[in-house]
Amino acid sequence: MIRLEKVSYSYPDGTPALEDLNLVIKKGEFIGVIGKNGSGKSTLALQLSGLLKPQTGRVMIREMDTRDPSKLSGIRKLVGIVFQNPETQFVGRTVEEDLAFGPENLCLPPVEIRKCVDLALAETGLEKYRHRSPKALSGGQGQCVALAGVLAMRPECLIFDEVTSMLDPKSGIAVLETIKKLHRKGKTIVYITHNLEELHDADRILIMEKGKMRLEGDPESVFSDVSLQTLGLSLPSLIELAENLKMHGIVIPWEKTSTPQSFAEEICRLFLKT
Amino acid sequence: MPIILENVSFSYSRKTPLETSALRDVNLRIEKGEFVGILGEKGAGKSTLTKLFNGVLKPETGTVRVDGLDPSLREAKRRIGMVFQQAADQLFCKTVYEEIAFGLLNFGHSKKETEERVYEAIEAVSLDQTELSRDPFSLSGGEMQRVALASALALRPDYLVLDEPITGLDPSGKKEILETLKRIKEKGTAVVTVTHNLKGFFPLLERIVLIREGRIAFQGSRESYLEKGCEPLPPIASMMKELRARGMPVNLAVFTVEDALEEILRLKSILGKENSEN
Amino acid sequence: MQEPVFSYVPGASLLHKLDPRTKIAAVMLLGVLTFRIDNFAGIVALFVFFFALALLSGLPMKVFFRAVRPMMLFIFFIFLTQLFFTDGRALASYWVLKPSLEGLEKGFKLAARFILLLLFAALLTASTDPSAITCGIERMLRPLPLRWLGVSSFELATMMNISIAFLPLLFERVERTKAAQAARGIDFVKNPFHSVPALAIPLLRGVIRDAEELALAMESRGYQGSRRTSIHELSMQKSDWKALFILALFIILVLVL
Ligand SMILES: Nc1ncnc2c1ncn2[C@@H]1O[C@H](COP(=O)(O)OP(=O)(O)OP(=O)(O)O)[C@@H](O)[C@H]1O
Ligand SMILES: Nc1ncnc2c1ncn2[C@@H]1O[C@H](COP(=O)(O)OP(=O)(O)OP(=O)(O)O)[C@@H](O)[C@H]1O
Ligand SMILES: [Mg+2]
Ligand SMILES: [Mg+2]
Repeated sequence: MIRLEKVSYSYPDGTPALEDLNLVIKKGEFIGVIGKNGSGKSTLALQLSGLLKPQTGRVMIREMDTRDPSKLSGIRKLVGIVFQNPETQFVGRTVEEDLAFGPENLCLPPVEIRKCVDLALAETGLEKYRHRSPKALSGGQGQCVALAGVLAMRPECLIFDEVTSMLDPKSGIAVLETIKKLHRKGKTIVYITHNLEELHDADRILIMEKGKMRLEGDPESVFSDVSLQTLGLSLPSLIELAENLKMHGIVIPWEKTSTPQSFAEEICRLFLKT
Repeated sequence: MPIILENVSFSYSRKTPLETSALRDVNLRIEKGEFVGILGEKGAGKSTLTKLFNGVLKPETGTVRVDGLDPSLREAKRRIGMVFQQAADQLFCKTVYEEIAFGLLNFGHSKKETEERVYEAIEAVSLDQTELSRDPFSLSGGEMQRVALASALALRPDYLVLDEPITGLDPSGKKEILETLKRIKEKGTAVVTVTHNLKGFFPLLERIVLIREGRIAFQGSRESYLEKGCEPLPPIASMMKELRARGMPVNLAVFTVEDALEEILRLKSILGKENSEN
Repeated sequence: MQEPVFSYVPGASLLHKLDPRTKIAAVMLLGVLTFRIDNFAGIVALFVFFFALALLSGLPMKVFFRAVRPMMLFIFFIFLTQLFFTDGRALASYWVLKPSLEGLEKGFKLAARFILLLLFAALLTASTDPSAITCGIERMLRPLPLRWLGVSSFELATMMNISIAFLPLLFERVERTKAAQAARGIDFVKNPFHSVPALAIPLLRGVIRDAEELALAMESRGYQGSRRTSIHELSMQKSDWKALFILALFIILVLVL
């Protein structure tokens, strides 16, 4: 679906952000991206959505080169992005106007737009705030508006840049569930986060370092990679606990480490069996 | 002397049809040298509360006093260091150095003292010295967060009020900031932090204030928070709660991986004994 | 915190449901009318008409008065200039100032006209979603041969949208930068000579940044300045024609008065 070929990018002030990056994202994949601050994750996200153009190399989105201006409108329909800082994403004076902005640009008929907007509001639980200004909301509510703005456009591929960073655990899980549902419907997802717990069910995890791809693999193998610690990343608590228990002969299978419920269930099963 | 809030209420867009009540009847005391966590779901009123501490917002009813002073006074501001929720909103200088030095110069510290403190602050948030000459607006999200933290830390306030200070930081950055906060707390600074990151903060918190729909739903020690079954919980604690819910005789006041390991091994030996007795 | 003036107040009244074009046209016509009529009866009739509409909108009166309040000083000033600088029968004489009876009348009328104008505008903005207003204007402009000027009605509408949105954006920047600076020891009240310049430059940088971000945000959601649709389905209903008919009757009535 998206292909990066030897992409390099430096910001106008000369800061290098991406170096010789190669990457292929297949249709319907759920890709997690992690890495230290300043490792180039957000820059990658902007490249993947065609908002920044590579200086060398090229980004192909379904065989459309992002540097080709005539392809831009096609690319916009295909890829949606939620920025890291939700405040930078608002374009409307009311939440409703903000959510309608994308579908309006896609030239959908009014009835259709209203449907998209209502659905996106419902999915993010924002119905109450329809007529409020998106800037007169709390941090977490704003983050949900930013998310809804892209959901309303229903693109094929969605890029999320730390979209649960300001959410309490419960709302964060709800948002992640919404995203997983989109994935199950066949959408391609690129999910940037610092919270490794959220990537338990990802198809593939990429670890970035200084603008390069450092490590790549499925969650289980990435989480058990010894170099994780040297990359400044720490394991989710439950996985760490499972690793420790393993040393004492208590083996919790990988799938059971995803939620506290499944973990506790597994322990009960193990202990009550004997 | 502490920060004291008495019967504080606050609404946004007051006297307009879009009036939103954000806080109601809040009574709260923050003592010197405490480590307090403010928890609550999105839109609960946490950020509003922190903005009342330093006078950015004025209470609609009730009073706020910082060491007996009105929080909008400069003398009160000197005692409170603040990091807002959106770090990007709080940066306004041309370079990172100026950004961190801004408050220091304003409060009348000498050039030399300022320079020393700036270097100390970027060390504390592990920013590279080469970043000092960069435009804060051109930093990545996590780097901005670090600069915002550094600019508050450099002031060495009596109360450090933080609104989700470690969001957007990578795991090692989180760990470093937590270490720093622990250290300055031990030196006598009160740390009040809004947070959703219970995994990182829970072991540090001495007192928890839980806000629900603008009211204080709970305030007290970490242990009583766990006993009362409040939410949210760090992943380990919520796993322990699940175990207890399934009838396992485990201690609920467990929230680090090491303690959880011990607790589960203990559980295993208890159950093993029962089984062999039967 | 700034109070929202001329802001939209959601509702389900008859007025809320009218097509924005009907309301825009009505406000324009009423605006012209306020400045055409010259008798007190007409002005009273317009006030009565306004109150009738305001009641119909189901919104609290203070929503509308809030729009007038910030302009009160300006209106009072206009009233005074009329009062003192119109020739006519003198009411009294203070030093060189000679308020005249004609001036009093003219002053009252002019002040009333400005107030009416503001009230009707507030009625429009309070009962119509702001994006519906721009959408309505866009549709009203569409038949004009704007292409000769090198712009499309869509671009014009977006430009209008953004410039309307820009003011709050600027206010917000000011609030935020002030809060950030106050938190680090700038005293805006005591020390304006230091604090105002300290605010100006960051503000400028901030606004430029906001504009860049807005452009990127719009681009990311597919905005290209070309044809776009709107969430607001504009269609003139029976009630719209009825409203315009009533308006026409009213205008004739006022002109006859
Ligand atoms: N607008 C900009 N101008 C100049 N340099 C920039 C700009 N944005 C980012 N950079 C720099 O580019 C590099 C990569 O930034 P990027 O935002 O992609 O990092 P990131 O991985 O998203 O980090 P974070 O986890 O902190 O969000 C960093 O060194 C950063 O300082
Ligand atoms: N500028 C504003 N104007 C109007 N209402 C606001 C404004 N800021 C916040 N609110 C409302 O006040 C309530 C409390 O907001 P607050 O920002 O304090 O929440 P919070 O607990 O910090 O949430 P979060 O965790 O999402 O940041 C929310 O319902 C929010 O919608
Ligand atoms: Mg980033
Ligand atoms: Mg908040």
